[in-house]
Amino acid sequence: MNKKVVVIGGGPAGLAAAGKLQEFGHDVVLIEKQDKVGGHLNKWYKVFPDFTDAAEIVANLKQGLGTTTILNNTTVTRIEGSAPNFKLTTSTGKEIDAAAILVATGYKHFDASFKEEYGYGIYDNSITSVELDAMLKAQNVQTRAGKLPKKVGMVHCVGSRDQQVNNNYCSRVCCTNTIKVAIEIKELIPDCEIYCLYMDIRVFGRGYEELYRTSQEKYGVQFLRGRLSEANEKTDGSLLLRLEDTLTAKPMRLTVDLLVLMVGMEGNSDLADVAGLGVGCDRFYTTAHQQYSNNASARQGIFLAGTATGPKAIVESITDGRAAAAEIAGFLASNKVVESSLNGQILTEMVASQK
Amino acid sequence: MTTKKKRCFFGMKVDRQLDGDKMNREFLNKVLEEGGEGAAIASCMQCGTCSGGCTNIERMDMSPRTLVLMVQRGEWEKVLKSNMLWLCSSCYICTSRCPRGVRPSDVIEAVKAIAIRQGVENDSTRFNQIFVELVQKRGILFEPELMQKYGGLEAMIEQAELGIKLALKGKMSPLPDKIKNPKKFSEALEKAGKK
Repeated sequence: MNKKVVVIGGGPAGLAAAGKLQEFGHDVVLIEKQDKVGGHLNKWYKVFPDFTDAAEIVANLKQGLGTTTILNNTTVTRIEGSAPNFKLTTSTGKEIDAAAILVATGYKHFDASFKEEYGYGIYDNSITSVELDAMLKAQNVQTRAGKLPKKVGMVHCVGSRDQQVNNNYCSRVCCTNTIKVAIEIKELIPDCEIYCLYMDIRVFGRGYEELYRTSQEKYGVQFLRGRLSEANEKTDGSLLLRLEDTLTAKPMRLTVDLLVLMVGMEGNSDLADVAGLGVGCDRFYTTAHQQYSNNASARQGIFLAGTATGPKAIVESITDGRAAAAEIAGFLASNKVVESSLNGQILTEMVASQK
Repeated sequence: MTTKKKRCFFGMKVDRQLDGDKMNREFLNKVLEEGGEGAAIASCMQCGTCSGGCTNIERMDMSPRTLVLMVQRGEWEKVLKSNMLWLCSSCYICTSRCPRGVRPSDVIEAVKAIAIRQGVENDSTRFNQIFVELVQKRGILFEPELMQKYGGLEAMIEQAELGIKLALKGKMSPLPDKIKNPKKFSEALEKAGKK
């Protein structure tokens, strides 16, 4: 026992994994790029579907860290050797020996300014879901001119399911997140009308569909089926949306005071070269096998967890982190040679070639 | 021909595109007040189960799914103009199958009541009115009388052959039927009307 494991990334998956690994009796070093752990959770206000405070989740996971050594403001610049004798070099010049490595480096937000027809970065009242969450955290949702919005438009699938920005995948969490923030806005500004521009409502988890129904029944959130085609600014700063209402098969014009772009997730492949990891055509890391070895990378001794391997909700990231911890514990206890296949990569390449 | 003002919007005729800014909750609230309070109109997810099972859909110019959508958006002009209100046979298939408890048949009933109050008149409302009056009068329907009031002598002659056949087979009485206790019936009607 007492083999050292390095966890790279201190988001929900990394925190959950580190906590479990030290419970198993391993020495865990958690390397975090930011000055504090928590990852994207630090930005969020509440988490769907039960409106748990994001801060509460971070506090809970931090409590489970136990003997874990945390290195803040640090990244990994080099990984040498092979399992179980890895040697990592950090950006602070430190060298760490490790028997196994967990990469839980998460995702990046889609840059909404790539969809220039939505006016992000051009029009004042076109904002992203990240900015809206900050407003909700401050309990102060308003337009750039400082007024309470009377009508808010929410655009699903911004940067997801879109070949134009090279993201053909679904980011999975945005639908439920849209519904969650819509309810939060309604609670804050009850007479505000909310229009969600969706193509499909993909609410997949326990309690998510119920949340969708509640948003309609109790809060009167309106759902318009159609993807936003373009937004134009009016002289008063409101935005004129052009879309097709596909339920009646007619084009629609709609004015909103605030337009919220629900940005999707993009793979964070910063460590691909350093750790020698494969990246799928969706730019998330490929796993050894998509079905039965979804926490192992193709490189023995390096494991993956959380949104590093594809979009996940908070609860899924935590579960995935703990699953990876179990994989690592098993690997270190037996030192078995995991047969690496490149199924994950092959699969994603296959999907790409079908286009 | 009525002369309509041709208005254009972004180079498109007004009726070919939707003005999203007109969406409002007024009509929905009105329908809820009118007896649709058990109907979860706002929770409709536009699955189309109602329209798929509708027994009269091929004659309707608007499907039950679209009706609920129009009610949600407050487009009451379109709803009141539609013939679907009057073609609904109240078979309740839509309501029994709706996965979200929208109760489209209740919505239709409520919208009809609003339409009649707003002065909508057509063959269906006239038929309904005559039907109700006759039932009030006798407590039971006398079909030839209904035929005469609704379609006049012309309709009676037209339908005479069928009427005779029905009467010969005992499916329809040539003379008006009576109910056992007309007094009690009218009392019950009065009581129900007061509610």
